[in-house]
Amino acid sequence: MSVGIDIGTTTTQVIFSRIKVENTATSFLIPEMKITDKKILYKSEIHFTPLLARDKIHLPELKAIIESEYDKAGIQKDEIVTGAIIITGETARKNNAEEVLRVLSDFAGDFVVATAGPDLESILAGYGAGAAEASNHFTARVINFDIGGGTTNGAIFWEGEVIDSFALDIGGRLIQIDQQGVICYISEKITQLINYLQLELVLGAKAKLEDIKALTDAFAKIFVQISSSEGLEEEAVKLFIGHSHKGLKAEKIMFSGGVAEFIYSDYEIGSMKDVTLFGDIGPLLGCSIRKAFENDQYHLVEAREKIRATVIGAGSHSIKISGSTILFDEDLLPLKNIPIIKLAENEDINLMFNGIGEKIKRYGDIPVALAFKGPKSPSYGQIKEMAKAIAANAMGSHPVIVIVENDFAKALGQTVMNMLNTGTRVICIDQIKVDNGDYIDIGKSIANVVPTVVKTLIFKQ
Amino acid sequence: MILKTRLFGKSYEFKDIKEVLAKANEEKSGDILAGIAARDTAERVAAKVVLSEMTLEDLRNNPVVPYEDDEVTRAIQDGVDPSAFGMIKSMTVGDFREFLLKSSEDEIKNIHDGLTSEMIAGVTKLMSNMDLVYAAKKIHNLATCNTTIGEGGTLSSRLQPNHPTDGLAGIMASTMEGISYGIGDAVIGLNPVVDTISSISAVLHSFKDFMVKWDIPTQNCVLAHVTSQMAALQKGVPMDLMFQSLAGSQKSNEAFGITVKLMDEAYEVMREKKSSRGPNFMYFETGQGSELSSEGHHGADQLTMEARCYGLAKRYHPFLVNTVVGFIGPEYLYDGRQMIRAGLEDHFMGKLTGLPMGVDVCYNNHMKADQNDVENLALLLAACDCTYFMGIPGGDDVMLMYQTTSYHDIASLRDITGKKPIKEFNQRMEELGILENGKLTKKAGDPSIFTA
Amino acid sequence: MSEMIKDISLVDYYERVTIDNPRDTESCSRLKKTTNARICLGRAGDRCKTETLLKFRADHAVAMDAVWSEVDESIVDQLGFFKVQTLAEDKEQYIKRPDLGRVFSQETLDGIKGNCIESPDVQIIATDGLSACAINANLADIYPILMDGLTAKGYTIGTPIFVKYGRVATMDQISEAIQAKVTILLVGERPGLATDESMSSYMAYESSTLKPESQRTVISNIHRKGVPPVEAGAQLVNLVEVLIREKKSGVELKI
Repeated sequence: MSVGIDIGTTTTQVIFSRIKVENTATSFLIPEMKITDKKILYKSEIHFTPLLARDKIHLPELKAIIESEYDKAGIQKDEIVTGAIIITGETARKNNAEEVLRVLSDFAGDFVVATAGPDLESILAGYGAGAAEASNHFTARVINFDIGGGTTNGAIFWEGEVIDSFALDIGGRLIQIDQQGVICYISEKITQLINYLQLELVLGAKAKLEDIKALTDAFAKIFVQISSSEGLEEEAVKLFIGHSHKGLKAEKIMFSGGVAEFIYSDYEIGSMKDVTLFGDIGPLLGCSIRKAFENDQYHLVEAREKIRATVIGAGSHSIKISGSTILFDEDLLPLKNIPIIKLAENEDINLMFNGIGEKIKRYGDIPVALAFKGPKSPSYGQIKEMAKAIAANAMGSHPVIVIVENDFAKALGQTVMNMLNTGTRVICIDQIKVDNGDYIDIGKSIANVVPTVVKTLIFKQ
Repeated sequence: MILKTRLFGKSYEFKDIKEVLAKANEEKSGDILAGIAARDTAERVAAKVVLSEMTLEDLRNNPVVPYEDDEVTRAIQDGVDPSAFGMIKSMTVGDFREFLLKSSEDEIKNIHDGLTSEMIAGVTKLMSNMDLVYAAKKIHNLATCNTTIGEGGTLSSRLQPNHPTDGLAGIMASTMEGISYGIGDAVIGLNPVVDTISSISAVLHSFKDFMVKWDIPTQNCVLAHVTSQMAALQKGVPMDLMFQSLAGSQKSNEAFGITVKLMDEAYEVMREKKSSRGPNFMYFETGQGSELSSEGHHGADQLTMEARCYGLAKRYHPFLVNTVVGFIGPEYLYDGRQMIRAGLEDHFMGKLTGLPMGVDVCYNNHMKADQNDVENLALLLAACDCTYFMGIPGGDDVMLMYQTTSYHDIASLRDITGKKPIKEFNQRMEELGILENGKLTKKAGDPSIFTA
Repeated sequence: MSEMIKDISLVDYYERVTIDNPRDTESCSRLKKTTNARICLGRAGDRCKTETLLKFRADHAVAMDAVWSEVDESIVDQLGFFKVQTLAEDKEQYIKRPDLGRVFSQETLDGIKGNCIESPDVQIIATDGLSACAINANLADIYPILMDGLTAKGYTIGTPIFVKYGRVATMDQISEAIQAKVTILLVGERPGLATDESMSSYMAYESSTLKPESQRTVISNIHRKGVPPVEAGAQLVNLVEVLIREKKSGVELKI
């Protein structure tokens, strides 16, 4: 059982899903465990994210919302094996975001990861929307734009894997309008663009439909340009958060997030009255996007999940399964927040492990994981050398944790074990890719494989 | 019935019809392995002489596996049309060879329901390679699923997009490449790695989606075990053709996990649930040597056992039947010469049985054969209007690990013999700009036609 | 004249698109990456291009030669294998008569009994099967890791035996002769065009000529580009533990 909790700019959602891990190999002795089914058991209502102020999340209220959803779903905390809480969009930039995550991850279940960050959010939304499967289905590059209240998260998939991810300051609630049609909020993120487009959109003033539409049309044009890898105007480039996209062309385009509900419907906006009904520019943005892709129906595909894409992605796509011939000590699991020391690849194995002892010492009392790619099919001699270097750097009472990318963890783990005192415990897993600065969580084994979650740095300071 | 003769002054005596049939066979390593082959070439010819004097009735009355012991024998014998049998029963096998060579297609078709597999195997043993080509060329057996296969002037192909892990994207990539060469008018059919219902269903759906999207008039199939296909049918999967491997004896069919009763059931389930239109919806594969390898040959030679597969296949009015000639290995067919002979024999026997017969012209890597042998046999078979061949990217099956005819080979065979795919398929290929007057256009051979 | 034509076996065939003027080259190369089937080859008339044809012939040559070549005996000598031969007299007879490749003469069996450790927990056998290259390529990596693992677990290990012209069933006769608990046979698989180095490992608990083939537990596709030989060796150690604990193997064993 897995939980996904998405705390977004506008809304907060909870889902529960059951993940099935199966052996997909034809030879059952070298099993190939894969996640074969993800069934969503419960989708919560969509709640507004409770705020104390513009820059502060109302934690007690949020906790109450989540608690009530656990009750409604009839799910106990100890049934949750894995999952993720993700703080997304502008909410991630609130002052108490980190505290919120920490408190909630302890509260939500045993192996639940707290995370945020625009790239991860893009990837999870893409998975949740179904873009990864679609890339396999169409044998095509599929781009997914998850348009939320404050941000848009883009991810491109090919063969079921992410090949690019990015985020933009485009969202349905960047401008809010009251019942009288007066603009009551404009995000500072888009003031430059508004000035550049010479639109009369001013806080406290009445908005004209043509001006808002000019803005949402401009947003829609940006999506067209990104997906067809045309050059973007300077003002558009400024909307990227952190970094730009790689400029890859996609054959199929998908939209998720709240705004997507209006893209795939036939809802029309004829007057300011229609706009004020919703209080923001989301529906209009949806219409603009629908029109922009109208002559390009073949490329536009419908997302499997729209407003719930991120939470579903978080609930069921954040974990990775290790290779199936590995070595682990069940008593040690689960392990959480293990820092990674990534070794630079080198044909000379001694050089590769040079100076590792120093690096490990820097972490003092915290156990660390050594990670490297390693040869595709190492010889017996290479395994011996690697094992010798790893055993030499084993730190007293700490378990030896090794993560390799290629398929030789069992051979390596077994050889390390044979070299060490019987007291030292060894975990050696493969087919997991990590980087320097990452942290890894390793869960209890399921059918001889272990679930892992790799986390990059969580908060921008 | 006389089981004795003299040749060059030396006398030869055989203990029964089964021994005559075995020793009259052209040399095959499988018959040697079974210990039933002629000792030398002269004994082989002596056996042919004795065989040529037997009547077809003798052969009918002496099936190589007794009626009481074997349901395949029963299926074949019970299927014989008495009046057609009456017309030929007194012919000797030698006369029968001449009848086949001098008669028209209609005259042959008039009597084919009176034949048993032993008669068909018997006459095949008297025929030279060119006899087999000459006689087979007369016979065209038509069958209809979504389209009609077997018309004169056509040369059809199975698109075989096998993949080492059943990866859908890879399967579809090979499919796109194949269609872009005009391949696949017989069937788009995958040999799956995994025999699970979900996997069968995913592949059948992908094929069907592609056929619908690009309006390709053909049939889809996944060559899983018949029981798995029945289970998939129950779930409502779109399946145009149902597949099963057949053997020539009850015991060997049991090794394949099938019985006549099971096949009867499968046929009924398919008739009810299939997604295709026509009256022919079964697809069978066979191959010399499979009975010996599963120890179900009952001391009979591999050619006669193979003929019995066709006799059983006929019961189910199949849309496609093909022998997989050189798949089984050198202990059954040692080299290119034996493979070519077996291919011609199987094709002729299938046609004479009344089947729309195709051939998987193939070899694997421990045989003394290579791609030139494949091309030789394919050309001979194209000359005798073989119904269909396999089309595989570059001739290299990356899942089954053997080599067969390539997409390029099918196009070349059509060009050399002036043949075209099945009419509707050909027309669609012309619309897509892949074929023009039966020949590949400049645009052909490019899978990205279908990624647009 | 010291210039050399490039080694075509080194060309990364699985990435190359050689179609003349495809509609969309990029999408061809993406299709190509989804399969190791020979697609996106292009054509010369209806026939293959020269490059395609030569590459195919090269791949087939290597596969054919793997079948007809012999195991490098210096490898098995170095690892201390005891060498025997089946009733097959030469490679051709071995190929034509699989039955002869499954049995030994009484003399050979007596030799095994007289020279090899009796009643070991684990007996290791290597045989050429249908690819000598598979043994040449993998034995030196899989054997020591297997020995390390089995030794660490405290099992007694029999004298390793190399069988020339052997098929899988030889493991039954050897197991009966020396009364091994678990027998592991490493054998060259029938080569495909993609690789001539693929090896299988068959193992059985109290392997016997009286038991059906389903007594055997198999790991296939052991080679550098498949299951790495060292990893297969480590996995075999685990399986030996399972077989000895459960006292059964093959289909009777549910793993």
